[in-house]
Amino acid sequence: MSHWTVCKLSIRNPNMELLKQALQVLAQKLGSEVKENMTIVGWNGQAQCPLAIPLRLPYGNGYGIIIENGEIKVVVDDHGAPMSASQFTQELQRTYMALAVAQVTQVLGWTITNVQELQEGILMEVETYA
Amino acid sequence: MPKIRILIQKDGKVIIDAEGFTGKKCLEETKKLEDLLKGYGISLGSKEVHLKPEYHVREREVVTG
Repeated sequence: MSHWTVCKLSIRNPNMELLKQALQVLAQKLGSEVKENMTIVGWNGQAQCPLAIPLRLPYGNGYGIIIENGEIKVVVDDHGAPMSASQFTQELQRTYMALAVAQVTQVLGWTITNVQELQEGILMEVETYA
Repeated sequence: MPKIRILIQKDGKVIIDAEGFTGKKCLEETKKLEDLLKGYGISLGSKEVHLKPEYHVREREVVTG
């Protein structure tokens, strides 16, 4: 039997090491790197972030991550920024999920045969030997 | 070779496509994947599961064979 499943991704209480790795992927795309314990400032406020990507933005100094009640929150003054807060959040979630799948497949002894970044998202193909 | 394709869409929708499995194995294997992902705080909610047409073909083959 074969099947396909459609579901909605949600992340709560993320693994911080994996989250940092996912941020590193985004940081590389943005030409920056991940910094720990950084204060992210914007037009109308600031927040202390355990993980952040420093970036010179028109009204801010980068993208920051805070975990509130187990949920990932992105802090940024995104006016004129390369990615809006919601685009950044979605890309971070996708990347985190892809990295988690890569780790889980290793635990299961499966092999990833293909990873592609497509227009609609990230595609991963896995052989299971089932 | 049984395969699982995972498409993580931009809107956070995840499509898991299992093919080449026999019996209930595909559901068991994707459940293993989902269970381990929970350890990373990932939950795949609002699930819709669609059986593929070949499932019914195979069932009929078993009955008549």
